[in-house]
Amino acid sequence: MEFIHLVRDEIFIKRRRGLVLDFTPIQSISTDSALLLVSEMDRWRRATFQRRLRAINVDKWHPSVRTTLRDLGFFELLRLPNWLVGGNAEAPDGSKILKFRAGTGYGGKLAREVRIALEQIAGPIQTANFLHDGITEAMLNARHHAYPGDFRPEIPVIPEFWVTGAWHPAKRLLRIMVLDQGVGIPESIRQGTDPFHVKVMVWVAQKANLRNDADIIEGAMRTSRTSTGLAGRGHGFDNMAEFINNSADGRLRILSDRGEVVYEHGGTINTRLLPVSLGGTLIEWEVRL
Amino acid sequence: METKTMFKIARDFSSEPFGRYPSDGPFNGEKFREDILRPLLSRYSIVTVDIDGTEGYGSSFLEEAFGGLVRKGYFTAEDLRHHLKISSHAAAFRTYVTSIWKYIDQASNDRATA
Repeated sequence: MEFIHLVRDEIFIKRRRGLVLDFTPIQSISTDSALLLVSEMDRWRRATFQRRLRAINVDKWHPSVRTTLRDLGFFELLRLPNWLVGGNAEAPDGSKILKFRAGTGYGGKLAREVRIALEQIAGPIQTANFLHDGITEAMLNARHHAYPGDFRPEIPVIPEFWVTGAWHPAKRLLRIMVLDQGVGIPESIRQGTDPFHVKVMVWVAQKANLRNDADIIEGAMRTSRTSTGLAGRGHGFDNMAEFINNSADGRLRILSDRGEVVYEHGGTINTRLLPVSLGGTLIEWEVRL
Repeated sequence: METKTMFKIARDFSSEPFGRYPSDGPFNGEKFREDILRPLLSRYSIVTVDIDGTEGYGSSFLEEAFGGLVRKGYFTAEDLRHHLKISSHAAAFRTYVTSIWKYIDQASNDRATA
């Protein structure tokens, strides 16, 4: 996250020209970090037409870093040709990653595309309907809450979300991620006035005095599971957890602003306050097929 | 009033129902409620809705489509228990049957306590 903040600072605040990216020292990159990087590059590409960000020494980057970023679509955003970034070489560990998709959440077709693409790399997903439900909830959250009219971010945002998935065959691990660059769940709930938001803040106030970002996300998750008296609202987080509940094993992770909440199969919830803000929301499902 | 009818969402509405409102997309919960469900319930004494065959159902769609029937004051939960049947043969989709009736009952409770 510190690196992402550095990139944002250099590009959008200090407006430096001629920046280069050299990941030669990096031995590995997680899919969620790579998606965050891709959304930043997409933000750069679409919001700053005059600044050119270059990647150098790509042939010296660790193969797993190169193939992860290549498959995700990172190099396409930087307009680097396929032959320069390793052609069609497979990832050293056999993992497969979907090229990112960006959207506004209109219509839901993107969820079907993601499901089909995931099943092409991982095989049939028996509980695909619950995966669909979780992804569409995340899309609708981004659509309805991430970019409110009075959102005044410090740097330009692209009011969309980014989706990817990954399959790790050795571990039979499937991961799906939805990321936005919006206001964040904690801030959205702090500012919200509908019954669900109010109920979450009541839960938080009873739990702890600090009301940090992680507490608020946990409150949203727990309130969603017992949502009554909310005029039909507040079921989204519960919906997101169903893919985990209906899998043999797995977890749902929500990072938003400085909060991280992990919901484990079986119902355990763990929270953590991050040292810096994500600057948006990342929702990640990880299940073992 | 005619006796009974069956409506299959995947075949006759959309295999990708999504969202609450028209602003979310063309096959949203409000549209399903207002254009399909409410007219059918007004015309037939028993309406069976077959929910199998779609990609899935987000809570937003189901709550708006079914919970909205009560929340908007069109029907009571008791009306719907007599006149609405939710049909599913797919094991993975049976959870949606439970959810639909949960949303209907929650909407009924919300109206009672409002």
